[in-house]
Amino acid sequence: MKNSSKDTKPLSRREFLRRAGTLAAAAGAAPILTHFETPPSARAATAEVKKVQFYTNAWQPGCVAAQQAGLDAFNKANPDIKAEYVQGDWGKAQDFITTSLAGGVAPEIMHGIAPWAIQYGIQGGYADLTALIEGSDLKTDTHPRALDDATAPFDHKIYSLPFSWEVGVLYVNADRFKEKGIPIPENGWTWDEFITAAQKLTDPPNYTGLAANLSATQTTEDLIAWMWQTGAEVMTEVGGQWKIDLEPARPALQLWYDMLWKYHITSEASLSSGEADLPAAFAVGTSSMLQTGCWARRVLIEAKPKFQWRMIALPHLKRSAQTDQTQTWGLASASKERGTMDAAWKVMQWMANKDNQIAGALGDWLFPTRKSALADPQFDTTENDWHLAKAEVQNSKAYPKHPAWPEFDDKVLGPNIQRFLQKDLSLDDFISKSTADGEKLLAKYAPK
Amino acid sequence: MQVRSMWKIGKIKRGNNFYPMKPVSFWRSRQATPFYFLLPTLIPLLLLTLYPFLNALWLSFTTYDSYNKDLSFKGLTNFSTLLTGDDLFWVAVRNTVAWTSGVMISTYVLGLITALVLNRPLRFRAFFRAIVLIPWVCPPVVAGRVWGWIYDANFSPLSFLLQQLGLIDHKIAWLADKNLALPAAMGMAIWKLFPFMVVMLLAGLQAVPDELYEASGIDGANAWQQLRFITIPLLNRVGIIALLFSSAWTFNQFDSVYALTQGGPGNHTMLLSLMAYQAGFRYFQFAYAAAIGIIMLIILAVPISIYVRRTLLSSEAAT
Repeated sequence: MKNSSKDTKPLSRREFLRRAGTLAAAAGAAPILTHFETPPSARAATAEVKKVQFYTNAWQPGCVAAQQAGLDAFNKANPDIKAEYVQGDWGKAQDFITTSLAGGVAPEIMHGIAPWAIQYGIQGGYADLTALIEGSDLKTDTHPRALDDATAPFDHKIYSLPFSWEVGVLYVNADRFKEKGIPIPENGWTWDEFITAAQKLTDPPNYTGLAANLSATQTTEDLIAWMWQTGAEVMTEVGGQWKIDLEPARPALQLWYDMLWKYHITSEASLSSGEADLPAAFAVGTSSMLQTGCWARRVLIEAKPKFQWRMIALPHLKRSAQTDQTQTWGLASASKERGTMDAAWKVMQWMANKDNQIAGALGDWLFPTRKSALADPQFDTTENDWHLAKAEVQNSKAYPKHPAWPEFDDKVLGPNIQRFLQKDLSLDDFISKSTADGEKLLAKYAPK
Repeated sequence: MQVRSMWKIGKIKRGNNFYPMKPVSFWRSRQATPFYFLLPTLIPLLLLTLYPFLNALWLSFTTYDSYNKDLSFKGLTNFSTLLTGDDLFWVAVRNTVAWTSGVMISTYVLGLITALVLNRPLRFRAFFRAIVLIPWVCPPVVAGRVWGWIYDANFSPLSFLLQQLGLIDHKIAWLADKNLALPAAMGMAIWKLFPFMVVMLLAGLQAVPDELYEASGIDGANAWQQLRFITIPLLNRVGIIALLFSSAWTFNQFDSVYALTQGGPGNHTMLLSLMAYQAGFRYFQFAYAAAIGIIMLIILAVPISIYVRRTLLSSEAAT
């Protein structure tokens, strides 16, 4: 029987492999050719418009709106520059910045905190802004402590531009204070007064006196302020030498131990509660007081607690001290090669001007670092206790700037504090071990 | 058979005669065809795994970090520091071994029980077989967040349930208690991984002939004896493969533990994977992080290779 005319000659193995190889090569090349990301150098350096990416971790709706409006206004006023808003996330920010700097694809402007910027600056990822800041009004109008927070410890260069401050505060259940006959300490209070009040404000298991964030990698965030109040510096530079200073902090650590196990003012829950959970828990009355940053007011307002709340300063011992977290914008060193450094600096100056700093800080429930912006009457209102938090700006203190601090905090101080509070480590062992391990880290990170 | 011998001796049959074949290189021969079909998979796999691995291996012998970008060979400095100068390393090793063995054993037992139940003629069996997969498809970070809420010190539904049942009299800070934090994190990992074990063991159970159960029943074997002498031995091979996969995944797990505890409280949930992440991304010590990764590979590879050689080869010999 003859085959039909439509029958074709069988495909040889060699021809099949040749066609399959060609198809595979085309399939592999197509995504590479069509989806290859435009490299930053090509992205940035067109003759007419310079593109600048503005990476921000702003998350409070008011701050997001203020920053987007600021960039829109900049773009309208500067048609030769296009500033692009890139939304980040505090939880992933360090990973993003580290990997994008390593990959050479970092946005021109990156939002973070001063300690990160110092590290990235020393590593060469962030540009030195010292000359740029000194050549602008930012030098005289930025609060000197904010500038100092952003200044690297060894080469004294400024690797990022500060624009806002977070201040550590205490939120209190005003109704419960009234019920127990305790006046709200608007003018400050001592540790003894705090302990006396906190004992009256504690009724376990219904509610505790104080809640704080002592979870892993954030243990020192709240506790360090109490350590500073004893006069301890924790990690400090003395005569050009950095050292660990924990011995004076004994009363602070003992106080927290006693609050946990003797007075039951705070509960073990603080060792695992994340910063995001605490305001929600406070809003339903699980604690009479909450230690966190001044940013949490919006969260509390929106949670609509069934009680009046106030925001006051932490109690003090030998001195008043709260943590401040200076937020900054860093400029990628790679922007110089891309030809976008000048454009990026223009964007940063615009966003750091008085009006934009005020709008951004109000939206974030924080404080601006410009002196002229901080003088705005909106930061002195009694509504939501802006005036009380602002008074604490002068007492606020930044984390140590030494590059060893992150490893010391995460690997030594934080875990040892948790172990001490969980009775795994005595106070003497905590002091000696943390000091010894801290000194080793200082030696490891000392400039060569 | 005739064709095979012709290939071996390099002769081809035409009609009734044999003629020697023109010699061809291996890569142009028919025997090389499978390799060509594997190339589209092998090339990306090698690029994405072998290159980073070799890079990490080299990095582990340097002291490269973001401050001193020094890629010169420094020998075993990092390994020596890890093994003799870093207390956290041994804490992480202990936690990781406890974590891996606890999760593997619990997952196997729970997976086996579930697979045995799902192998029975149940009503809506297909529905149950489908929903048992839900934990497996849940993204690890989402699982970490959800379980973080389940274990929340203030709002834990688990504490609420146990209080209602009268098993506890106050809320438990699951993730704050140094004795409960690691078991709590393991609970999440078991929930996430046991569907994989169910799927593997269920597939293995399908291959167990019913006649064996019938015959053993006739001989007077009870359910426990059938399980012990028929089911488990015949599931051995599938079980080993499932355990090998799950042990590698569990040992290397990072994302869900990071989302849940970040290694706390007091490093009681610090795993080697978390330690490597912190070294690289928090302290910028990439060479040190690479050294931790290489040690993890060695820790995982040595027992697995010994176990595979002894167990799989012996089970092949037995069958």
